[in-house]
Amino acid sequence: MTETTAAQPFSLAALLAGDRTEFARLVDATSGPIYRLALRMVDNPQDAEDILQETYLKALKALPGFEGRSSLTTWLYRIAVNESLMHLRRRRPGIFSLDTPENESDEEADEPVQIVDWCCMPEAELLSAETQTFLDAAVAQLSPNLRVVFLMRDIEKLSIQETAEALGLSEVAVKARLLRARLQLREVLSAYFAERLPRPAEVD
Amino acid sequence: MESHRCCDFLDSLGDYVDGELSPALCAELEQHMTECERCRIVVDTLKLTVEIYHTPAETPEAPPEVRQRLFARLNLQDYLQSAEPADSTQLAAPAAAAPVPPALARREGEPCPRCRQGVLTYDGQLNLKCPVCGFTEGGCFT
Repeated sequence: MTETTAAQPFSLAALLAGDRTEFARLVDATSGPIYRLALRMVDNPQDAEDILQETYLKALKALPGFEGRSSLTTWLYRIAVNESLMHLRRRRPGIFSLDTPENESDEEADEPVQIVDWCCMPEAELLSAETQTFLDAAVAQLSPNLRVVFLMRDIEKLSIQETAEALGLSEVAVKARLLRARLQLREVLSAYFAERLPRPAEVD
Repeated sequence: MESHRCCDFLDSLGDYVDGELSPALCAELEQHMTECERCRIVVDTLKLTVEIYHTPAETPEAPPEVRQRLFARLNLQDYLQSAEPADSTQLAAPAAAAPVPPALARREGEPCPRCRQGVLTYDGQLNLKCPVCGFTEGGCFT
């Protein structure tokens, strides 16, 4: 969802002037990805819908103060992420905030443990519905701080810079969290596929 | 080979997977991978992990009724008809917009997975490369 790929970038002037058509165009183009991100952050359709609506209501209110330092879509992501984290905090209070260093001292935790070469896995298995369900569940188990970075970068395909802007983090921090998320997913996927590797034909 | 060399490479793996590692470090890492089976497996499976997630499944768009309620809440109901699915207009999510073959392997002629503007072509070393942003399939950024 980058504006560089848009047929026409959104006109901030029109939005500020209260142009409903332009606002509808913005909502139409961005609400799909925003909903998807919210759904995978909070894992609950009702909460995701609340977050979706809140995001645009807040955006409307905050628009006059929008400084244009990031793109409009990045800014919308930022609002949606904050809403998502607030929902999570409400559900499980006192756990985390985006600013909390993600146990950065605890790097040994990222040491690869699962050493199984599953690169020869048949494609049908890699892309099966069962695998897809497992992939989703694996992302849902990441801590929210890692999950949000992984979702924005590897699922929604935002750039490192856009992700950093949307989260208010440095690019270095985004890269570090992204790598941790990917390494953690590699561990659980390795364990999953290790059990499904085709066994070598048994020798009589 | 269990040495601290392996750990040294750990921090570079993100850039390596994204094809953004500096040529010098990249060559060092790839040399190390020929000598260290453990690292070779970690790197290959890490790359594949990322690729699997990049292969778009049927990513759920917002259900129509969610869209309707959103437009109603924002007093935009009048625009809903004209605002049918965004694919022909603009800004569908990149993952949904670009037709990507079911195969995990990238092929020549595909849109660049990173910038989505270039088209992947083979360079002199037979690596798939994007002429626009320089993305290279699984390796060095040269």
